[in-house]
This record gives sequence, structure tokens and C-alpha cells, in this order.
Amino acid sequence: MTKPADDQAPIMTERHYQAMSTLALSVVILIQIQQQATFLAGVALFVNVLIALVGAMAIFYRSSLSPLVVLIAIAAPQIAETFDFHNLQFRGDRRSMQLLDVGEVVWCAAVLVYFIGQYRLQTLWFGILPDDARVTTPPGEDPGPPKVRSARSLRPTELAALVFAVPAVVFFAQIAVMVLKHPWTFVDLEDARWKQLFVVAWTLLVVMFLAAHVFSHWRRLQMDRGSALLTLQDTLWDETGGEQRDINRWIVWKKLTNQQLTKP
Amino acid sequence: MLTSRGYWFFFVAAFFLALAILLGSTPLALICTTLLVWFLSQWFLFQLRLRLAAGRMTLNRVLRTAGGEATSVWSGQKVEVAVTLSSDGWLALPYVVVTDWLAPLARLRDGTTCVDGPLSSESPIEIAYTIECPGAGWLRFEGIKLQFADLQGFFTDTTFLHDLCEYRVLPPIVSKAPHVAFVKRENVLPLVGTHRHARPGGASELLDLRDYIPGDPPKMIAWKVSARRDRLITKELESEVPIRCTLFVDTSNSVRVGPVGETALCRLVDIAAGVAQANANERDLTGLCLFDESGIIDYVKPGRGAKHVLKLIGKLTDVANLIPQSPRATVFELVPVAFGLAQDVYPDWLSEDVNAFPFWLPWWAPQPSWTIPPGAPRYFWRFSPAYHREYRQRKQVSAVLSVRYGLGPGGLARLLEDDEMCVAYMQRFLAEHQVAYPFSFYDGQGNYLFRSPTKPKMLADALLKAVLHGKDNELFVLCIDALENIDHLAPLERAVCVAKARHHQVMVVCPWPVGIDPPGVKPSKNIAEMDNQLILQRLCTAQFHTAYREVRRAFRRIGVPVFCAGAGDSVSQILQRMRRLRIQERGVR
Repeated sequence: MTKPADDQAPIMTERHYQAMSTLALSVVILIQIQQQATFLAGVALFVNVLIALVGAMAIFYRSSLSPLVVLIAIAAPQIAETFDFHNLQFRGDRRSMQLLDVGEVVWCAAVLVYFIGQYRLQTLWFGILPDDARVTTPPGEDPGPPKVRSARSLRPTELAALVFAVPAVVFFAQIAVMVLKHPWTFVDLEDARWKQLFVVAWTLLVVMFLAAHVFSHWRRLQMDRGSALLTLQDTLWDETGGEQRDINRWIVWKKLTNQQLTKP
Repeated sequence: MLTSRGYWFFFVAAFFLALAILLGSTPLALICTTLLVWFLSQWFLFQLRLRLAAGRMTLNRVLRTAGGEATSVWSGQKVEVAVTLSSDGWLALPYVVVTDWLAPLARLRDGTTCVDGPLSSESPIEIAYTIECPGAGWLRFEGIKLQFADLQGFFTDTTFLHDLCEYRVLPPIVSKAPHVAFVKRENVLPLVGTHRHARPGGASELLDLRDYIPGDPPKMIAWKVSARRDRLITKELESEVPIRCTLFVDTSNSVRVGPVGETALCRLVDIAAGVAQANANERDLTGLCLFDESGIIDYVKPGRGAKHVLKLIGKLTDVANLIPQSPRATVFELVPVAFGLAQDVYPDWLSEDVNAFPFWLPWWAPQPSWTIPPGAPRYFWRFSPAYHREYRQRKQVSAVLSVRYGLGPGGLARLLEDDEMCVAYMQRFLAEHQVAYPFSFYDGQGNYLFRSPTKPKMLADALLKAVLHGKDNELFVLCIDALENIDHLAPLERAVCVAKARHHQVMVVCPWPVGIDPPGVKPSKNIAEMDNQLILQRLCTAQFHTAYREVRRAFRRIGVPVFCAGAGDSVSQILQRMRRLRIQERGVR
């Protein structure tokens, strides 16, 4: 029998992701402390300690806490800081934004790396595919795939790919925010914030709608004969379901009545 | 498909982005945009990889036994299955869970059928495991289930790579019966009246050497041995009177109930195959008659030779894995099983794109009670979640069945409304994929659900026909489920009497359901210690034992032995009986 990865020790383990996440979390906390030095030092410290605790629990103690808790913890002081900056009012951010500011780039990259590492750890510990209610793992037995991702499936290329992917995503996000802050005139709204929100929502919807339809069309082009027949049948049933239902119900009624009559 | 993890991630990131924009927090907007861009890029890449990989994956399956690569295997033999999934797609798939659809007849002994990892043109995925088949039949491997996911678990997709491979599983080889010494004390011809030889006893094989008795033909004197021993020695040759044995094997629904490979029918097939092989070793003739409730399925005239035995075993193998079909089955029972099978083997055909279900349909147009067959379970509240689930599953399964069996444009609507037709097609669907579902033997009133009054009559006709064509004294082995048919055994008893009057021998082998203690086994637990389930099982067993006793009594009256196929020594009992008959035929003991 072939056991591909059993014979040799795995090159990559979950510890690599733990190390990566820890490093990223440390960078996030350090940069946040640096950024929020002037803002309510006590609150900032509390928030950063909270982030560290939540992050450490998730990374080292296999806690099923969602990484989104960390996002909430990151977001809260940012919102508070904005509120404080604008004299206890929420207004549009009039501060200028510098493209590719080192601090912001590293901060964004660290947050992204933390999320990537944390989610990948969760796939190893809690599952990567949705649960199948029909499959149960006996208590005490180590759940393997498809319940959770196996350690054997880890490859160093997963980490190597991040070296290119993370900077690209961060750069693209910087461009996107720069574009977003541009004073658009095609939307006739007084408040710039609502205008920005409209642009974001519209862009997201259009991009996702178009991409989904392109992929859907591509999928239909690759359909096998059975799936194509099913599509046609479903369309017909959708359009004439009511009529077909009525006719067939009378046919069945007649059949059952005849059976009752011929029954000895 | 977006998983709940992906959904929550997108929802929370989008919410905070909106909040950041409205509250004017640029750093937060930057973070959320980064996360959203990453999420969308992952989705785009996932879809792109899937589309590029579709249709570019190939599957290779090899079965190996101790003797090397195999195209057919023996039951009880350990078989290594090696499956290799390779892809020549342009982009590697980062994470794939490959699950081999284990053949229903196979039992996993070692290894796992599920492996995960990345899939690319350079690194194929291999699955290796060991199986064993408990009975004869066909090993049917449908293909493999593929579950794709991104590395974060945000997106998944499921498909099935169909690659139907079927391997014949032959019944086990019966260990050769110990050599019986046919030492003739004297050459006595068979008694007149007991044996009516249609051909003269051929003498070709040397059986023994003995002292010359006056009256022995001179041509039988072994001159060389006589010269050595200095006295006359006579050669004795074997009599070549073949025994003809016809096996009547019941393949009706009652013997098909149980897990695939462990049914009463499998046991009968093992017995029949064992007898056929033992007969072939003795150069006897074996015939086979397969029958069920509807009539004679197949009949093979008694014959001998390796080719004939292989033919018999082939026919037995073909019927060994038959799945029970009950006209009393209901949509309520079958829909979850058929839907589960469709989920596993046809996941693409259940996706919303091609097989959608309007959620409001069960509320808007529930099935009226006047189209439900009398006695079938029904829901009295259209808003019941269980009814909604069943309706959805039935619609999706009906669509699959309609396409699979080419029922035409109206097939789906017909299956949705016609319970009987839907049940028939679902049973066919399950039978083709060798999926057995639990049947109960008795209904709520204690009536045996597989009672078939016409079966003994049909077997009686087949037996009389065989007697009509019989030449020498033959042995007829009736493997029939006569339990709970005691009131309808009269025609069969008459046919058996005719056979015995013509100096044939008849014996009955009674198939025994799996999981029920065979007759003579004492229950281990005290009834006070048992739960309701065990008490019901005990009652069911007692009912079977009573029925078996009645069948045995009925056949004992006419001098026919009855054996229980649940006992492990059924084959040896039949072989012993044949040996006795052979000795009787040859006039030796």
C-alpha cells in the first residue's frame, strides 16, 4: 500500500502556522501601540492586551474563538480614536492618506497574515468542510478528513505563496482606498461618506455579480449530458409545474380508484 | 458554495468597512478593504482552479491479491485496492478530499478510503486500502467523491468522478472432501429395482487389486502382479455411474433481505457453488434452477466439466447481490435512502443550478390525500418541517431518476405525484447501486411480509419437469424459503412424493436470515435483562423457529431431510448425502 507522507516526517506542521500567526499578531500589537500612543493610553493598552489574549488563546490553546473577534478588537479603538479626533463627533475623515505608508502597509499585511494563519489553523483543528450529519466520529477517535484537514496535507508551498499574495493584496487594497477617497461626482449625494459607501457597495455588487455569472456560464459550458438534461427538465417543470401537477394528480387518482374497484 | 465561515467573514468585514466609511475611519477602512480584497481574490482563484481542473482529472483503479493484479476475486480473500487520481490541469488544486465510494459488497479491513491533499499534475493523490468480501457477487466501484476547498475553508465544492468498475467475486472454494476409500468387498451389481442404469457401467479407472475368485473374467487378471506374487490377482475397475444433482435456488425477495454480501441468498449461493465444485471434483453432473416469486429465472441442465461449473458459478454470482424489492415499501421509507445515495454519487445533479426546489411548494401545493395509496404514511400538516424536507428530497431525487431512466419531459412531475411509480424507480435506483435498506420481516399485526403463496407451486412444477427429464437416480436440492408458507406447501409435497416414487432423492435447505439465531441455539440473555429491542428480536426469532419446525415436520412426513442454511455445515451435509447416494449407485460402501 502506498502511504505517501507516512514514511517521512512532514516538512511542515501546524507549528509553522502558529509561529506565523504569533509573529503577525505581535507586529499588529506593536504597530497599534505605536499608532495609538497619543490616544487614551489606558484604553489603547487595554485593547492591545485584549487582542494579545484573544490571539494567544486562539493560536496556542486551540480555542474555537473566531479570528473575527480580533477584527472587532482592532476596529473598536480605531472607531474610538476617530470619534476622539473629531471632537467627539463622527464626521468624514478629512485626514490625507499617503499611498504605501510603511506603517499602514505593514499593519495591514500583519493583520492579513494573522487572519490567514488563524483560519488555516482552524481548518486543522475544527474542520475545513461543512459537517456531514450522516458521518459521525466515534468519541475518542481522532477525526481525519473529511472532518478536519490532515497534517499530512500541509505543504511548504502554502507559505511560499503568501510571500507574493500578501503584498499584492495589501497594495491593491491601498489603491482601492485611495480611489475610494477620490471625490466622485457621478453620484448625486450630499454627504461624501454615503457617496463612498454607495461606490463601495456598487463596485462589490457589480464585480461579484459579473464574476459569478462568468463562472456560472463557464460551468454550464463544461456540463455533462445528464446535468444539461436536468437543467432543461427543471426549466420545463418550473414553467409548467402547475399544469403537470394537476394532470398527474388526476391520473393517479384514476389509477388508485381502478385499483380499489378491481380489488377482490 | 460559501461555507458559514466564509459567510461570516464576508459579512463582518463588509459591515466594518461600511462602518469605517460612515464613521470616517480610514485605517479601519484600509484593514477591511485588505480583508475583502483577499476574500474576493480567494473566491476568484477557487472558482478559476475548479473550472480549469474540471474534466481534466483521471482515475486509475487497480485490485491486487497475493497473486498479483486481479480482475476477479474470491470471497473471503484479502484484496488491496489502489486508486490514483491525477490531474493535468493548469493550476494546482490546493486542497482536495478524495473519498473512494466503497463497493457495498466490500468490507474495509485496513487503510482508509478518504485521503486529502493538494492535487496537481506533478502530485497525484493515491488511496490504498484492503478489503474483504463476505460473499459472492459483484464488487461495484462507482468512482470517487471529490470535495474541494480553499485553504481557509471559506469555499467548498463537491463533485463525483464516475468511473464504474465491476469485479466478479467468486464463491469460496470448498476444501476438497477427504478421499473416500471405495474398497469393494465383492463385485455386487446394483439391486434390480433400486437402480435403473441407462448405460452400462464403464470400467476405465483402476480401483483395487484383489485375489482372483473363480468366475472372474480372465481379461481382468493382472498378469504382471500375478507373476510377481505367484498367485492370480484380479483388477477391479471403478464404476462410472455419474450422480446427477439439480440445485433449485430461491432468489425471491425474502432471501435478499440483509446487508449486501451477508444475506440468506449469499449463503445459498455459497452452498450451491460448493456443491457444484464438489460434484465437479467427483465428475458428477450438476444442474441449476434459479427461481423467485415471479417464476423460473434461469435453468441450466445438469452437466459437467470446468466450463459448466464456471457457467454455474457465473449465474450464481449474478444473483448473489440481488437487492430486495417490496411492493409494500413507501415513499416515506425510501426517499431518505435514495436521497443519501444521490448526495454521495450524484452531488452535481443536486445542485441548485440544475435541480432547484422552490421552498414554498410544499405549502402551496401539498400532495392531496386522494393521490396517496391507502395505508401509506402521510403528513396531516403541510407546514411540518419533516414534510418540507421529504418533499424537497423527493423532488430532487425524482429529477435525478427522471433523467437517469429517460422518463421524458413529464417524468419529474409524474414521479412527484405517483407514489407507486416513484417507489418502483427508487427501488430500481437503489438496487442498481447495490444499496440495501432495512426491511422488516413482519408487519405490525405479525404477518410475514414476504409470504409468497405461489412460490411452492412454481417450484413443484419445476421439480416435476426435472423429474420428467431425469435419467438415473438423482438428487434434488431444494433451497427454498418455505417459512410462513406452510399452508401452501401441498403442491410441493406432492411433487416431492413423485420424485421419491421415481427413486430420486430430495433434500430441502432452508435459508436462514442473517442476525437471527439458527434453530437449536439457546438465547444467552435472560428476558428480564433485555430492553424492548432485544425482546422484539427474541420474539421474531421465536416466530422463525416455530415456522422452521413446521416446515421440517411437513417434509419429515414424506421422508425429506431439511437443513438450515444458517448452520455452517450445510455444504458438508449435502455432500455427505450425495456421497451416500453415490455409494448406493456404485454399489459400494
